[in-house]
Amino acid sequence: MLSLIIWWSGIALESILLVRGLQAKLWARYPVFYAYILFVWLQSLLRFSIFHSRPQYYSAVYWITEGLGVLVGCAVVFEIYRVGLAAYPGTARMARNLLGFIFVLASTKALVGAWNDPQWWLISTTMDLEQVLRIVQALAIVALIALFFSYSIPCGKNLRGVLLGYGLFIVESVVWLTFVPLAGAKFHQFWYQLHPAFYFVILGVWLAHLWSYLPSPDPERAVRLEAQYQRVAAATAQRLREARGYLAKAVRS
Amino acid sequence: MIGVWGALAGAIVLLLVLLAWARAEASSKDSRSDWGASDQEQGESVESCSLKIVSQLFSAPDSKFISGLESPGLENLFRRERTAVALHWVQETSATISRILQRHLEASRLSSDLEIAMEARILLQYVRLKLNCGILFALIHLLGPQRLAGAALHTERLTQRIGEALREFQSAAQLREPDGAGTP
Repeated sequence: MLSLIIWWSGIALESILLVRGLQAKLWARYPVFYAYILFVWLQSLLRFSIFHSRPQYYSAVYWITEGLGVLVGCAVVFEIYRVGLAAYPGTARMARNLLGFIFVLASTKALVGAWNDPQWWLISTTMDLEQVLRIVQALAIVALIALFFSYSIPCGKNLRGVLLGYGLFIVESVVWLTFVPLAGAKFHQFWYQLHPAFYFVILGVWLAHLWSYLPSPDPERAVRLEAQYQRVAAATAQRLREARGYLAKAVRS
Repeated sequence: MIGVWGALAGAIVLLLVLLAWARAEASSKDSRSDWGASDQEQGESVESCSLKIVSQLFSAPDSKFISGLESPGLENLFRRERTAVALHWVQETSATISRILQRHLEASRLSSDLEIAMEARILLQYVRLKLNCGILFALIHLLGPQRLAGAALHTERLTQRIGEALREFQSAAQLREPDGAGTP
């Protein structure tokens, strides 16, 4: 009963996130992220129905959707880069080249490893592949945050939510994928309790940050220009006041 | 494929970075409107000391003159004062280097033709200078400033050179992108 409630609560929160995305037109700004949420929502429904109608296919469906989810997740990381660095073309180009290189390197390594392993379709190898890709995503997120820090790049509330939620999700996935093959049944039971709680936290972060559209702060250049303009305008107003004062004095005398 | 400790380290690093970033973002949200003004204030103080002052600060003749007076108290006082000034100079130089890099990063983030090699070279130069300052700081404590004139002048020259190079680089970039590179 409890697992049913957890399952349906997750689906309900994902639905709210999707509906808010549509209402606030956030899906147009973060299309890949909302495609990912839609994918997760459909995946939850599919897994749920397979689990109850044809449990013998559940494992296959689980791993296929899991693999697809990792690939869509890579696209989410690319989108975070695209949106976060949209106003900084040089930094974005630099990051894109580095990110592309890291992804190609990791994918090649993973594919070569799978090719050399005659039983590459086994679950353990699929999990290894997923772990490699999740770690690459983790590295990409750390690199992006390092760029944000070093170049003092401000981040809007929406993007902050996407990045924070997805980052936490990656942390959880890496820990899970690392311990699953090693730990025993007790850890599995413990994790099955912890996982939904963690997932609700992630969905909560996304809902809190993506409830409505909030634009990202403009690059500092705009702030400086605005400040300069305001300074010039204030100085001009002051001079006009002085001139008016002189004029009044001249008229009176 | 990846060891348990490697994967766990990756997860922990990501978690810590995420938390630090979220905290920094939250705390900087209010002060963001003051950035322009504070940058301009900082910009005024990016200039470093002149080579002449540095060379005098680390030179031996003053020390020899004080030694010639044969007053141990005065000599001690002189050594203490000179060491304190030299240490202050190292700290100031280190802060200047950080400000130069900060200004470069803030200016270059809007540039449309940022090059990885160039950025890496600047970062290496920055690390090298910071390292120089750290070593100088330790050596001044150990040996006193008089024997370190060469190293201090080298650091000052490097700081001035990197400052000038970055200023020229920025003005060239500004000339190349007069109407804002960030606009699509």
